[in-house]
Amino acid sequence: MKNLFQRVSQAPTRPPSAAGGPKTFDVADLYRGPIDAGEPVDTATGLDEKLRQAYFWIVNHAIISPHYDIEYNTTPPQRYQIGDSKAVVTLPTGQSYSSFVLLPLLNFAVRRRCLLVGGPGRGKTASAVLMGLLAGYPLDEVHRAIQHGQPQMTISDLLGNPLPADLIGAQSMSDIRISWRKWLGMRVKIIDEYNRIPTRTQSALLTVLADNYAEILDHTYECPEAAWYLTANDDAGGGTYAVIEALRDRIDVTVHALHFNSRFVRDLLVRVEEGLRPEQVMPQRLVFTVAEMDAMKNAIRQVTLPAPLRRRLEFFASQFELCELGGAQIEYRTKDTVKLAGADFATLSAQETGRDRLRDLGTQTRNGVSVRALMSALEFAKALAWFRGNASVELDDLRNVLPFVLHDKLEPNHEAPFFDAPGNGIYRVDRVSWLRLLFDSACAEYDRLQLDTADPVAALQEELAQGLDGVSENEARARIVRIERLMAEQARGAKLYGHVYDDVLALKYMHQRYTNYLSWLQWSS
Amino acid sequence: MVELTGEPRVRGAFAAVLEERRDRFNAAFAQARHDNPRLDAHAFSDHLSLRVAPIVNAVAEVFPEQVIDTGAAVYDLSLEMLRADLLNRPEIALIFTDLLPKLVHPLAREPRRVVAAVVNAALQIGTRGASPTKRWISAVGAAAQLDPSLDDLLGFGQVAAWRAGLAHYREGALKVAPSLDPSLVALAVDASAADAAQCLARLPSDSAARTAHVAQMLERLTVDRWHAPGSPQQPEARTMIRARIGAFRGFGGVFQRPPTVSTSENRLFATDGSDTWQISVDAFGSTFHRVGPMPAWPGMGAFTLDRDGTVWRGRERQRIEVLADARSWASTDDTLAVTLSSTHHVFVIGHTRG
Repeated sequence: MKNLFQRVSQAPTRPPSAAGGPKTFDVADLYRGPIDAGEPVDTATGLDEKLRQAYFWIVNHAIISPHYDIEYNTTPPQRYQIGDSKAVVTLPTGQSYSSFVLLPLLNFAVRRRCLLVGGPGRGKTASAVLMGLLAGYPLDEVHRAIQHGQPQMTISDLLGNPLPADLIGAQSMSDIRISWRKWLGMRVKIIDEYNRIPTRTQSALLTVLADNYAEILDHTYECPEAAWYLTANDDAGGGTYAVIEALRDRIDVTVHALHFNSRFVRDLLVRVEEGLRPEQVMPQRLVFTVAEMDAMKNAIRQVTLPAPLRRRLEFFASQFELCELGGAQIEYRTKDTVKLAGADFATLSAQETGRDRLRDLGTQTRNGVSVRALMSALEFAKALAWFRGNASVELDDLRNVLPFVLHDKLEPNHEAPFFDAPGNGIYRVDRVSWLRLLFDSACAEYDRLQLDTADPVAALQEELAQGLDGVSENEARARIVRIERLMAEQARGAKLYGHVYDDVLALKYMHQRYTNYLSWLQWSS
Repeated sequence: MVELTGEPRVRGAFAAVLEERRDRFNAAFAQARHDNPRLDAHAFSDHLSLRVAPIVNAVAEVFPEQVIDTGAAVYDLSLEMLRADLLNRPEIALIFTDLLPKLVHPLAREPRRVVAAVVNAALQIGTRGASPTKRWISAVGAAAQLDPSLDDLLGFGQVAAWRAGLAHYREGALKVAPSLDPSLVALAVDASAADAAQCLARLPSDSAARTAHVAQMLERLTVDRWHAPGSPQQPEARTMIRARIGAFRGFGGVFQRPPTVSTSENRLFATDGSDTWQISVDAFGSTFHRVGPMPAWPGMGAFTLDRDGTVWRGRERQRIEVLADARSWASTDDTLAVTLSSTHHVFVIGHTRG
């Protein structure tokens, strides 16, 4: 059993507060202590701690990533401004994390699709390999299963081959057996340099990545649910082939491999001198069984998202889809309409609508937030909350995952006035910080509008969510009147911003539901 | 760095294991020393040659096909112990010299589980002192001679640990015991036998009778916290001081100041004003576990104490002079705890039938 590098912390990685009252003792604890017996973890209580142990082992021993860019604070942090550019450095007061290690680990927990981007030698593939080891695969098997993108890669290279003997003797397609590639059956899938794969092979990859099955000659192979890791040296279309949009859209989270801090050359020196390769000696106690992986995903699903937090996410997402001059009918006034028509977005978005183009967050993007991106955001926010030992998502969890989820989903409109404002040019380059600022700005606007305390549209939605069973004709008419009044108030408002646009469409939807319900009531009576 | 190359003082099968896994073992040791430059390489080398090699060689004689896995697992765990600064602990030395050589069969099957379990157990029992640790190691070694399954052997170890004085495992051990072979149960709890052979010889030879005998023993243990199988028979039921526990921290005890006691949910607590402990106590020993704040309510137990030291249990009474003018007292269903102003001890009073 490989069980080296045993610097897995014996102390809880997030110590619980001391509890009072009588203790109860489990006689099984006799055999627990400083020496790890490699027992399976209690899937009801111990998996988040195990994942944290994995995180700390990776950052302390495997991936030298001394960056704490996912910050949490328990008390106001110290802030410093350094250099002529007034670069702000904060010293977080809560347990903070390195996105380059944490996000792939959360992706492992929720089994989604993670893109690791950055220059060569930054540990992208090594990080993905560690995830394969966490899933319990031997190192050589993980290495063999890596699909290395290259310009000659064929669908057969990727998926498998029909058996030659069957090809000669077969009377029908069903007689041909397929030798499927082994990686298709693995729970961790690694595609190295995916932007060097030819377009046709990318399409085959898309089927596996999106629909979880592979197809050759009318034969299909159902893949198990897996955590995907794709790597790219250049995220901005600098690969050999352009990544097809559908494939790019399936990526749930994008993580930057940050630079190597030269203050840590000593660690490299030890590895060189001692011939150390951490991936060869991951502690066995960190390996997750299939049952544990399933339990972990289920536990993450149980994490709650408080309604006020959900409203903030809704408000944020509502900022970006509206393009007031993108269509005539209200439903079609979107950036998506403009894109489908092939119209010039820059021209349309620059036309005067009377909105404050600096304050309007919608001007900063060329598209809106997709359903897939929202689902990814919810899943990763829950995963982060669970990783931190919490039963419900906090605002900072959402704030910390959104930039990585939306990294390739929300396209910046660099012609927007925001980017020309003094000091904002940096956000043309630093997309993670720009996305975080977008969310912070949306939250500030949400607070200014006092939507936490007065949100009549949300109240109407809540009413409708209770169901229509038993709602009387008079009550339905009263609700319709309330909707119409609210719509009139919206119409009296000065400008059409993204969140107003979504409110208007939601009111129209509710009005239609009650109208149909009234018709049914009258027919049935 | 120290090259672990199967040098001449390591002989036999373990030398072959070191040779086979040399690169990996050296890398692991290098990483360990990188993390802690003060790691004692020579102590580790001695541990491997003097303690680990005989164990691995013993496994090789019986299960040659398991020797690589066993050797690697014991090496890895030994390195963990070195990191945790445990190799110089007397109980660890005893585990390697007196117990593991007797566990060849379970070691070959599940080396990591076996070594980790007995090491962790010995570290816990070691807090009670050298004598209970030796007794537990001897008992587990004797039980291994009966060739039980590993699960049964570990279950036996749990019952034996309770018998060795880890009173907080009483309830758990009593739940485990009925699932064990009656001979193992008797071996674990009989206080009077000089050795395992004598203990087993005293059991009924008939299987059904032996099962009934042990079931009766367990039933008595369950209902009577102060019963110790094999101890001299009491002529009659008695309420008496069973233990004086706690003591002054400066003399190796628990309390900084004379403590007071309390109960909550039928459990005993003691505080010295700075810290609070939950007390677990029975015929085999006592343990203290630090807890949060002292429970504020006394609870209602089976005993009461008068100012003159009279202990009441229902209508029965027993005067115990030393308990007069008690500073505090608290009672559970079967135990009375009393403290005095003049001592750091907690007096534990219990009743057992004859």
